[in-house]
Amino acid sequence: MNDIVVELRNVTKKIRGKTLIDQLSFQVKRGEIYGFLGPNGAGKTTTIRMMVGLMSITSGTILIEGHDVVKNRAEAMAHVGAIVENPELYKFMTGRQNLQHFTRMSGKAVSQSRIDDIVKLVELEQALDKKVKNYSLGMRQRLGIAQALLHQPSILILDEPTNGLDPAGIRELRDYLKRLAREENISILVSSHLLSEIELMCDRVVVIQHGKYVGEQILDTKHTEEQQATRTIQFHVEQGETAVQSLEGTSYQPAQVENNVVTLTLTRDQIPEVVEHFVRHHIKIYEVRSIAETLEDKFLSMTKGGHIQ
Amino acid sequence: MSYFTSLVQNEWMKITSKRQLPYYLIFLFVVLAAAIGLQLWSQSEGGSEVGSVGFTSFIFGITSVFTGIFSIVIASQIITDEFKDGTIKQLLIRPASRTMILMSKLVTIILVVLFVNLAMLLVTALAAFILFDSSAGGINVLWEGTILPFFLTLPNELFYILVAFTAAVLTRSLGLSISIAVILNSLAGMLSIFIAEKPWYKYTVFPHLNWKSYYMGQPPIEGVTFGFTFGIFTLYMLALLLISIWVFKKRDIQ
Repeated sequence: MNDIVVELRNVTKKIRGKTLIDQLSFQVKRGEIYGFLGPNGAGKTTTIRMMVGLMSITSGTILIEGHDVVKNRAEAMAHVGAIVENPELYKFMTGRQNLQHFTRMSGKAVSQSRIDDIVKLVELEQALDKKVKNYSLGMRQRLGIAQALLHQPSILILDEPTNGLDPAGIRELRDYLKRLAREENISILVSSHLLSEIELMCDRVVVIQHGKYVGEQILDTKHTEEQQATRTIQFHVEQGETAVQSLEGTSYQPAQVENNVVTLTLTRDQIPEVVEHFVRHHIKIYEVRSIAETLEDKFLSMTKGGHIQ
Repeated sequence: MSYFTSLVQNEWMKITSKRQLPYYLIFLFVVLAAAIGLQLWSQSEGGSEVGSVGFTSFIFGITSVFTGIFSIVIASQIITDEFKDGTIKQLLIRPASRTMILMSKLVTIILVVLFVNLAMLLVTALAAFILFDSSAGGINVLWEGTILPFFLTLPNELFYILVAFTAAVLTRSLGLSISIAVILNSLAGMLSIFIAEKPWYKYTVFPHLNWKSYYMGQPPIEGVTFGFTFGIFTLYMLALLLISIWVFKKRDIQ
């Protein structure tokens, strides 16, 4: 199976001469949760609408499991589950009827046991035969997720899924999504303007601004890319100067020292090596601290101060 | 089962889950019950008796006009409700093409109209043949006098359904699309009087909506054949259909 589930290639969207999305390219890998981040008006919703075929693409291509969303719409969409903005459901029908409706639209045979599993996963067994108009917002959100998952998509696209949810609802949704990525091995693309949400939920963040790709950030430490990435580490030692001298001639450079605090830029694997090095040189270590940049810092530096709510 | 059939099943499920259709059927049965009650009361007071066929014809004549208006409403609503509730997004992010979605809705409307009319005809006829005098004639007379004319005027109903449907796709407004179809329907009669003498009148759709005249052995306009009528009608229907498909396909969903 191909490792890339979704690929955008130089996607551009123009409406009446105004460029909303400009040559946007990025990829979504299998089984990972992607945060799709950008200041308001950056083009997140427009991009998502092009991915699911609600909006036409001015130029460029979007591939889902290798199928062009414009040329091979049916094949591409068969792999997509999505909630665009609110979970829009038929309020005058029961949860069960809604699921039946979307099962029929999926174009795949969905077994009854699959439906039962999904209903259990989103904990809607009790409410399934009630009309959706009597559901709470959280229940609608869960039914929305259920309908998006019925046909075992390889990518779940969620546009601002935490909109209108209370903190408990947001937390619940977050737990579901994490479980899903683990249990169903599907990729999830979540657009949001809530940085803290994205930080807690996602493995990776794609940032766009003014319709352009700005950068990508890995948040999960399980990735080799993240392990190779460098970070700032502070060592609180007894004798700062001695410690720096001991490092001379090694690859752990450059070192800064201030008040017996030695600051180094290291990869993940280098941290224990440096500790071992100090210990061998009989330098007492009182504290090792990673000065992590928060997602907010990263986001602000990427978008050069582009504000976010 | 084919994918298109499942789409029609979905539309059928949605339309029957809303309140409109059951309430409309209840309304029709109340009309029928009232008419039966009135007739039985009048007979018990010494009024003249009514034949089964005559009664069925009379009631069906009235209810099929109601259903004509009702069909305009549901043909608009089947489009505009999806936009109003935002569920249009849910429909259009599936493997189904937009053309397929639109066609499944149109097919469902036609099925509903046929279902309502035939159910009404069946119930009315059943009640009438049980309660009233059937000596004047049976099913044959009913077929000739009521059922066949209904099918021969169906093009008229289909045309205004498609007008409402296309208007709904174009405007996404329920009020506007119902108004457009109803106003065109009522203007058609008046308009025909003014333009009936014009040489291009036969190229408009209006004289070609009622096919009863051919059955009676007289074309709606001198020298016009049924083939011509059928051709013009098909042309107008295709034009409306293509406009609605084209606009629906092109639209960016916000």
